[in-house]
Amino acid sequence: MTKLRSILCSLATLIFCLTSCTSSDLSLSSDFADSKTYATCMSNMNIELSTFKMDSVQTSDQNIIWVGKVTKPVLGDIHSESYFRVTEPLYGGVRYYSWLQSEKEIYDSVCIVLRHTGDYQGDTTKAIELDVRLLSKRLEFDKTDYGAKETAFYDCREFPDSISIGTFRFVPRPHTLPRVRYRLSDEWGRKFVEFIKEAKNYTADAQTQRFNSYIPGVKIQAAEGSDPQALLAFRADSAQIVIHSHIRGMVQHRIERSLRLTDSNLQFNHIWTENITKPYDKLVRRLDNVTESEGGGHSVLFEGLGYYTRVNFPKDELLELNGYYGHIVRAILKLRPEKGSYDRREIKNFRTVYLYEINENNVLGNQLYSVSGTASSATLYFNALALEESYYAIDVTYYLNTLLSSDDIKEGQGIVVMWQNGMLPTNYNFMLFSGHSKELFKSELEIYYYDYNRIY
Amino acid sequence: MTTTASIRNFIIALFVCSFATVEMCAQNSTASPYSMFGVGMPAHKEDAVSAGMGHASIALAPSQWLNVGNPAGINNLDTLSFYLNFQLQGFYARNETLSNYDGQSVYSGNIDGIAMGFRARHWLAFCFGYAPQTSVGYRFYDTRNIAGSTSNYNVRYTGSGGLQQAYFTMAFTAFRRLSLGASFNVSWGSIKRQETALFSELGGEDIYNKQKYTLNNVNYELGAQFYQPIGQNNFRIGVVFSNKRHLYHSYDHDVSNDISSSLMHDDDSQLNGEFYLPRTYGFGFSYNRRKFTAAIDYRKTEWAKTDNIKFSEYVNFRNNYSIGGGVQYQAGKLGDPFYKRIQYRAGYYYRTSYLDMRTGVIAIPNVTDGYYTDGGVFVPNNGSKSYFYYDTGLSDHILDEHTFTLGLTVPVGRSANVLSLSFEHMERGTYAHGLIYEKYNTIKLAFTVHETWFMRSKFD
Repeated sequence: MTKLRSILCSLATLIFCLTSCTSSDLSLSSDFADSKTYATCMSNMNIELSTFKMDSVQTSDQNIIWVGKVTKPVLGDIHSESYFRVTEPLYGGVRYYSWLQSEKEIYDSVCIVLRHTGDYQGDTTKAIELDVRLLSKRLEFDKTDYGAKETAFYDCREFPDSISIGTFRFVPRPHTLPRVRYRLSDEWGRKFVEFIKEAKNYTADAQTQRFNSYIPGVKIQAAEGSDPQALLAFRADSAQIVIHSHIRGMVQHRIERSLRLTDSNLQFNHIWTENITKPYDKLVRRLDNVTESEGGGHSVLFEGLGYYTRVNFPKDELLELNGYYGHIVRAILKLRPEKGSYDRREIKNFRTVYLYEINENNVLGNQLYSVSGTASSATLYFNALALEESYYAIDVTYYLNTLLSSDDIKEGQGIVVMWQNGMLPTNYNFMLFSGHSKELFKSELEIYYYDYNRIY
Repeated sequence: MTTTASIRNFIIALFVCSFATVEMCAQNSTASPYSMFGVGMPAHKEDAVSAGMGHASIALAPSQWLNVGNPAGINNLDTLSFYLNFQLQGFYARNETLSNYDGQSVYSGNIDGIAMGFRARHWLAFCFGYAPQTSVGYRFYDTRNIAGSTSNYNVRYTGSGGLQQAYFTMAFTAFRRLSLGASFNVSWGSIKRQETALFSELGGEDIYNKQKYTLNNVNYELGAQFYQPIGQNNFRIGVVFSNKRHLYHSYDHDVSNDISSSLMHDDDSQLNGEFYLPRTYGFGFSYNRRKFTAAIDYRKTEWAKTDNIKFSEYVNFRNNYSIGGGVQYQAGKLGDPFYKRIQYRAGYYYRTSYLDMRTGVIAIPNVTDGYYTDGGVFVPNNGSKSYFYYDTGLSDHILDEHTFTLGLTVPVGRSANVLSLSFEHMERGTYAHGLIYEKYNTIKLAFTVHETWFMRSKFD
């Protein structure tokens, strides 16, 4: 027992004597250690902004019906109209009941039901006249490329003719998201009820085929001859055409049939512009670029028409860094929105940008990753008092270090900036970015370089 | 198993244990930022008994414990005994600066030495053991500007390691009162320096810049003692000498961050300097009369002639000396009651600094070895750093050590085994010019085993 106690005491003493702890770091002047390492900040790297057209298909933004017109700098008037297919009519939520017609059924009215999202661009003080039109041809969905990265947008290249089935005037109310109901053409409504009555002559499958031919699709656009001053957004999943009728008897029996959106993938907006200014009119092919010097010192980001901003990094200057014994410890690309190019009331739409690699042929690569391994995004530092000083701080540390370590930096390698992550449908946000060639409030690359001094 | 066999096993285990923990222990022997220059802070080789007497050992020739401070100091051992000394050290240090008066508190412990010795003939004694030789251990940071911006970043400096020595000592009686001794030392160890640039505080990547210098060589130490009794008074003088010695070295430089294990690795570059152990010589005097002993040592170390790598433009090595002395009192002798066999010690130790800190000087570029650009920036020729240093009168910093020591040796049971304890309070440095004032409280605990090995039994 005594022996065991002695051993335990010895061990405890040994452990006690072999431990160590330090309360905190001591702060000393830099003269003391006299380290030969140093860090420098370089903000004069010659980055170059440019604009290219990545998406040549003028459709976008599923789930939202964008309709109207808005005027943007550089790009001019942007028009938007929305297309969608509808389902067979539902009665009491059941398709089968819709086809159980009665000879005694009497048409009452037809109307369109829409729900405003609250989003708009342009002048909403004036009423906008909208036109609901019946398409002459069924919308076909191009499934061949769907899912491929570069053509993931709804790809409809044909826009069929249409006839109007009713117009209405819409006045957005601030701070409200009204569900509005506008009456459409009674003539078309009566014809539709008669169409229903003839269903008894067909099988269920034939009825579906008849319906698809009778109503190939619906389009909502600004009324012809009107001059809308705003672009309005409605929820596509809430949009429906409702046909009201009744059957007379001992008790009047009301019937309400609704035509709803079939599939969110089959709803899209057609965006187009007429009077685009030079030099952006030359952006036809994907390879085409408008550099910041050609574009008046700025680049464009407008996903609605497929205009994206890319940033090129200076190959030679980066390669020069490889000649030193050091490492980029922080690289921040400050991308400055040009004051006045965006509506500050819509700033919530601009909070975050997402970054992808892009090569010299404007082909997208991987999403940029941060040091921590998460997908990289950048937040807008918004200065409401000095808009010029607002900027997106994009962390490109990992990207540039990877480039430098690969020893294969190519001319024209860069990153592309977008607002929506994962190549989903585009939107109508618009922004100009100040180029690096500007005197003040320019976009710039800030590199913190640490030289670790190889020889001691 | 016999007692002798147990002791042998214990010795083997200690050796295995000590060598296995050399790397671990080396980093805990000091907490001084001053240890970052050269080969580190010189360590004391002497055991806890000497430590209690102001580290005086050159003129002591004890029969109860192993005096490794002078190779000739083991020549008075008991001829029938084997001696084993195992020593631990623990310290509590406070590093204070003018701007950071709360300072840094460090507690650390370490194996401080192992020694074994015996007397093979009446005129010949041997001793071998292990002891720290220099130690590096620091942790501090400074704040530096990022050139071209108004931002600053912190750099944390940490260091560990140092030199250890394994020694074999032989002492013999040259004449009746003159003892000579020689010690052959194998010195080895590594100095690890790490500089961590903390850019994560700025949203960037931290960079870990590590250098490791592995050093080794053999060296010798010579010693002599002369003893002269006059009546009941015993006088002894001693001298020690060890020469300057170059250290072979290898170099390993590795830079990494949290993402990449190695951004740069270099193990074949030539260093811009060398490592040396300095020439050291000293002499001591001791006086003994019955229960009372007094001793005093003087040592000089020629650091200025070593040309060691300094790791800083603001540091020079200079020759230093130390004076240490103390007294010991023991009321009784072996066989007396326990309390009378306790030995009491007290001492004082003073050591001048081997560092000349030049943080108070102004470095002016040598214009004959470079040129000025139009923007007024001096560019040295061939990238060399060539400066004149003008002393502002602030560079004569007092980094000298003042140490008060106390000691105690307590017998263990009825045997001749003893437990020695020493306490030191050391203060070093200055608050001026951004330097550090250090306060150390050190306890050393030494267990000395006497085992009768060489007595032949007359009966089976």
